Amino acid sequence: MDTHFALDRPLEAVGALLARRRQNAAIVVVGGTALNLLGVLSRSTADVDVIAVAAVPPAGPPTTIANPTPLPPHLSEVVPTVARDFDIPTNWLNTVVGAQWDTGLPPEFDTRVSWRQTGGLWIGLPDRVDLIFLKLYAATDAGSPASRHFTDLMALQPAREELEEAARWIHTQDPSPAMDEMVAQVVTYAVERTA
Amino acid sequence: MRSSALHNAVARLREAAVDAAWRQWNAVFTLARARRPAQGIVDPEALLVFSMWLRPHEPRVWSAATVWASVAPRLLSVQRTKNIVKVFPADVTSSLDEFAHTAVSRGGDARWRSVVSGSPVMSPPHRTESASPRFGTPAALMLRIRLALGIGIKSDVLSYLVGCVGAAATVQEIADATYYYGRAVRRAVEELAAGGFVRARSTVPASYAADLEAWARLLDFDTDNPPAWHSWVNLYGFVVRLCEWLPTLDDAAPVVTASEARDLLAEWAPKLDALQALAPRPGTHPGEEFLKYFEGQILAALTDYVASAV
Repeated sequence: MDTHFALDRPLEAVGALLARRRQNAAIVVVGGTALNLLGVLSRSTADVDVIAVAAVPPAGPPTTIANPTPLPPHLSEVVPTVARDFDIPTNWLNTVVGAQWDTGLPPEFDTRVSWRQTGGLWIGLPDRVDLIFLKLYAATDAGSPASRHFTDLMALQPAREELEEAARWIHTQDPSPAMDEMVAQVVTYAVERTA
Repeated sequence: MRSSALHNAVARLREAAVDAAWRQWNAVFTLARARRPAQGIVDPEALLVFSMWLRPHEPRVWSAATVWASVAPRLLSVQRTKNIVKVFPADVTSSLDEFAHTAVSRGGDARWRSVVSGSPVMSPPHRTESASPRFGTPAALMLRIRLALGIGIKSDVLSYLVGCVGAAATVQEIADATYYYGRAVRRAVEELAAGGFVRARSTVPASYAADLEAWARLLDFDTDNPPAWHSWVNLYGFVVRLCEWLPTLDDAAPVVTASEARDLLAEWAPKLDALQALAPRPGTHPGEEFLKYFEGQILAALTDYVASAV
């Protein structure tokens, strides 16, 4: 069974349903959805990874982001409705990646988020550098250059300096020697591939 | 345009429902004249409350109800009317109030006092009304059984089971169809079974059926073309709900309209077999694609169903 979907229409549906109810919400997405929306790659994805939420000011885009768990109640109500409407899993939009808040996001992550609006939904997209940080971390965790995280990382066309900076940030997340070694291997492999 | 297609589909369904209501009045009341009277069982309280809702736009239907209030309010169940009104928008209560006033003051039926707000003036019933109920049509079966057994749950449970044309129904199914409370239905149908008026089937849960041939002989209808029960409360209720929903859409995005149409289907399909059968297979009409299916298949099929059920 194909468990990957084009999630742009469901996200637009969330925005339309929120607007219909005169509500709004703001989410920052990472992973395949962010890469798709940024035009870095075009592939279906299993879910929408929400790494942060934000309060929506009366005018203009959101500013301050926060841990996405739990999602705002009005957003939580709409998500299963859209799952029903598009016949996709109920957890198609989830905050699993929000666990990153336990150890911290890349420095000044929030200042680089760019926002776009669809109906009552603001979608925040991290900066390319932040995606490199997160993807290097995920690719190292996945442990294989065949993983989609490594593929995504390469699609971001990271420079050596960007990978090294990302590696330093990962060290603040997990300072174990084993992790340092794995990150170094992934960085080396990525640099070779880029070259 | 998509939205006009939806409006047209709802308008056709509404027209079918209005036509059904008029044909039902014709089947049970000499006041109404229709080319083809209803053949299926007329649910008088469903017809009454739907006529109330139609009042602003279909005065002839409402006028049939008001004259009925003068000449035959005793054939209606006050409690069941109260139960059914809850299915419809709140603004029908003003018409119910007026109907009840007429039923008390002109129809001489004091039971309707419990519905009236304020104090109705009792006056002798008018004997000058020329209209009268019809009991000779198969569609009037519910009224005929009430004439025999009185207004009450047992009469209506019997009508429902006869209208199931031999099929058995559980207590829950009977309660859902007749709009009486399940506990009261259970007691009524068990007593009807004990008295030999219906048969209990040893199913789990227990179910009950009427002997179609025996009732056909008693009530003089053709077993090959028996008067059938259709859930007019829910058919009319769904039509009303659709008509009330439509103006709220304004410039709603198609994906929103489709989603709310799904909400309606999810809410009403469990109450309407005709709708349940039309529910799409999962994954076949994602997002706004459902709208086309809703207009072109579900509403069109339901329009045909209403026209044939009456």
